[in-house]
Amino acid sequence: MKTNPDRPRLEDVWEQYQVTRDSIVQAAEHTKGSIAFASGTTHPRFFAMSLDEVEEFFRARLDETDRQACLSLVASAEAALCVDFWERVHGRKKDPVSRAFRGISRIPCAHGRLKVRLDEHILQTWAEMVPQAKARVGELRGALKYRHWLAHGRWWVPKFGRQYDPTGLLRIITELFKKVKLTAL
Amino acid sequence: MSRTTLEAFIRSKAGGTPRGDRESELQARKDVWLKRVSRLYADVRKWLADLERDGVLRFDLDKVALEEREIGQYDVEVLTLAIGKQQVAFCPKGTLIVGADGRIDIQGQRGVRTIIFSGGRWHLVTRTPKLRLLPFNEDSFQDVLSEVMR
Repeated sequence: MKTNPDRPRLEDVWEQYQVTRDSIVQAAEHTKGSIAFASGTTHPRFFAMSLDEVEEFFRARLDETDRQACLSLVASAEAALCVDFWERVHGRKKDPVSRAFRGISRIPCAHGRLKVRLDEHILQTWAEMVPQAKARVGELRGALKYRHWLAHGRWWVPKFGRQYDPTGLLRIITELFKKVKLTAL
Repeated sequence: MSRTTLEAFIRSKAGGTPRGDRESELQARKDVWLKRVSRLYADVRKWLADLERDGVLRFDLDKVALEEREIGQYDVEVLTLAIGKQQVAFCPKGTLIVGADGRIDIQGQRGVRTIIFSGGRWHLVTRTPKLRLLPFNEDSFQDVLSEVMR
């Protein structure tokens, strides 16, 4: 399996999120400032909107930006864990996790090689072999359900048991990576 | 930096108009806005005076509370036209809006059209295919009615 060196890292995703969010906040302030006595031009889409409507518009954009960032953050974490998996498989490292990963990569299946799955193979191995990472693995597994909901168009009403936001997701991911000593972010 | 530019720069950093002035400006703006609304209602009643006299339609004026962030709560009149079993209401949305000095939504059973006050007159807002402002007068009001009524 050849890995992509240009994949977006967590810090790339976070930077993109921050820049987008800052731009939206700035645009909101500019638009709100154009109401009443302040001068300045605004996009025609805001014409005749009240302050509440402008705020609601930008609140919705920020919420959507948060959701897109959540999706990208979990996708980036998935990429980092998969790249680490294949580096351990190909690098022939001797530690127990690398040995376990190699064992998984050799499991035969009906159509050739087994398709390595993030949850049941990679995360499960980390949870079993690094007990101190188990709680963090559980948190990321919960976040994967959220990612799944986002990636599939949010067509059903989900029950997650907790709220997800980019800051919380970044914490979940970085804490897991610390526990499993994954540095290739 | 010239003295005028410097003064403008410092004023912008100070957050614009002093608070007391700002409040009185907003109160004055609200008062002017309410007068414009009343004048518009008078015009609309004039346009339809014959129909009102003949009993084809009826006008109702009701006071409702309007809340605007910086101005606070104040009473504004909603003009309702009762035509047969249908009603068309002029619902003022406020004077603090983007790009104009006031907005009223004309709501019927089939839809809503927005008019705004800008440059000394009322305009009908059209958004598709792109933003356009048309004069709001007796003729365009007829178009509005045909769009918002069933």
